[in-house]
Amino acid sequence: MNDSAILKQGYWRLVWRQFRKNGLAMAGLAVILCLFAVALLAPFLAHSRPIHLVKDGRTYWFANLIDYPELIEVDFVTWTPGDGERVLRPPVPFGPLDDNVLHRLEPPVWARSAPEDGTEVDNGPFRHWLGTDDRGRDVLSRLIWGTRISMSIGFVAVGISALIGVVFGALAGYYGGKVDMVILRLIEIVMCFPSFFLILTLMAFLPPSIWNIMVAIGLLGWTGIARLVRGEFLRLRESDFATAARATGLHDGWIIFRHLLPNALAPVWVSATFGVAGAILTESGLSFLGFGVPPPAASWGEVLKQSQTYITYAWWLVTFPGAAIFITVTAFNLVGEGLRDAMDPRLRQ
Amino acid sequence: MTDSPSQPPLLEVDGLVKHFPVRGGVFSRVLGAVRAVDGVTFSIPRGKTLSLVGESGSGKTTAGRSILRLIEPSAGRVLFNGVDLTRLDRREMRRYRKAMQIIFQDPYGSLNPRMTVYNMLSEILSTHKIVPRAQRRQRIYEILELVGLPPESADRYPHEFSGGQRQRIGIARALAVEPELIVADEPISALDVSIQAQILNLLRDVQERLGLTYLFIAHDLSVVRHISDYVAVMYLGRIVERGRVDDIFERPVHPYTKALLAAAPVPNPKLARARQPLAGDVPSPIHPPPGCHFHPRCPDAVALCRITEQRLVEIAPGHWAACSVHAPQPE
Repeated sequence: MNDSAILKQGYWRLVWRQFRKNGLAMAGLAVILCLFAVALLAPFLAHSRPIHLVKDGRTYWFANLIDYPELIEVDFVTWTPGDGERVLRPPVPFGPLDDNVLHRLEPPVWARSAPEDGTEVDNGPFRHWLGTDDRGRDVLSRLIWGTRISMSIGFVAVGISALIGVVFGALAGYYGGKVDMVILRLIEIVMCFPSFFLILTLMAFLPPSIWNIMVAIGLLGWTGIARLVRGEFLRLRESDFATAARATGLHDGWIIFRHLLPNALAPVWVSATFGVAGAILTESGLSFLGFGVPPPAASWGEVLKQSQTYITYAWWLVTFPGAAIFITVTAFNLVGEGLRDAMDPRLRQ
Repeated sequence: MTDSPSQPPLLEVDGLVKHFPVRGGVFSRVLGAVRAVDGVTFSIPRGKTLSLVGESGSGKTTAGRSILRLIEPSAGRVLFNGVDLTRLDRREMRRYRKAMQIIFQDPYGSLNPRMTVYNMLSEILSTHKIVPRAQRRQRIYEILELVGLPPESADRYPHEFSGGQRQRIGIARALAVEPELIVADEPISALDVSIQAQILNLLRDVQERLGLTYLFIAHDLSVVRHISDYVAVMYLGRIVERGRVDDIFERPVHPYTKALLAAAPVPNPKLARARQPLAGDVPSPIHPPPGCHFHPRCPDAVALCRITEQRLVEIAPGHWAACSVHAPQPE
């Protein structure tokens, strides 16, 4: 690519061109977009109440989102539409918390053995596609709702670390000297701790809640980003355009955030992408050890944890949440690597 | 060296010093200092141009930036309109930045790649409240026209321009605050030869129109002759000779000035002077040679040059040189 072609395009368009060439990264991006869709549409994909319902002459729209007082008593698993009544259920007609002792530890549909009396039981839409756990809760429904938890923990935790990291890194790099010294020591102190065990300890003391997990992961994960931003600022503050901004009498805050920061963010995006994968993994680990998202909320690590007792028998409780974690983390890592390669000017031809 | 003694010079630099400490060892002790600028004195009358000339490493860029306090000077005074800039605190200095600007050598590194020309100029106008918000766009078009850029360039990013156009943007940025003094730090040395003349003419043109005062930093004497009223030649952080442009070009005294003049390319080969190329490199500014800093490379050096420090001596009205051989030091 010649110079003028580079100059004609914006920076992000150029990055996108490079990124698009990387098949694995594109696959990862597709997976992440799907996960986003699943997280956003969870109530439409898995919910015990129908999306659209005509019952007793009344029409209900989005019963899965709105708590109609008339419908609270209705058990939609046993309810079937009568004459003039209609129902549109989500593809998985179970909420993540709907338990049913009669359907404990059911295997996935394709692995289910025929009933012993020889009769075919057709549950219609009420099939547990990926089986059920020890309380009869639908595994697929829990995985779908767990996507929400994993994605939000990943993004909020990384958002917190990126914010702290960018601010500390920018201050250290721009001002240097004593400010830099203090922030660098702070970074070293935080980095000294094995962060997973520190988070584990924190979670043991803090009341269990998803927000505490996000904050704990975020508060301990900013050091890498801070060091990257500091390095960029050390380079940028010596640049002529930074000197020019000082010479025109602009304020330091304006120079830092308006002039230098936009030029320092490229490595932050890469690091943040890897960070999301790390945060999801950390949350799963915490939940697996029982320090994560408080039950009965559905989280991938939580489902995995339940599998411990039945591991010799209920293979589906291990396989599917494990696969969900694996695929998500891999997708984010692939996108991170793709971004890193696309933003690396040395790889540009 | 002021032409009209009644009017005080716009800029007076008096004994300006900038030492960069050299640290090392376990506890970052100060081991020595790079004497980048080592006692520089000159003044520029309002509306005139003084060129600061020297080889790479002579401290001319550091001097220019210390005057604007983009680098904090170690010692000395910088009087701007009679106000000592080195004594101002940061807030007061910010107000004075409106009156003095800098143009950079590298037209690529000196513009923020993520900002349009409009945003670049607009933030300057709003910071210093130059024009009311409603007139801002109009004013930006005027500035662009002044530097010879079409109004459409306002909404473009720096990478969409050529080197010469970028330098025009750099000049536009400097002019936006309506300054009195502009430090031009080798503004044309990174440009194509064909563009150099355009930018030089632009600089002279805006100087005439706006009554600007230039401190022009250059290493190329042929450029300097056309744009300057005064010339100061720097070597290893010190001024070795200064005077009116004709004094320096027609009656150079210091051997270093002569060597620089001899090294400058002459367009007409028939007029080529006998060349006396300078041997060796600029010595280390951490351990400058004793006596006259220039003596190791000087063709005219005598034994005394290794011992005596050279001071500037006025050899003709307004023409100063620091060479005990050619400009005997007064007792």
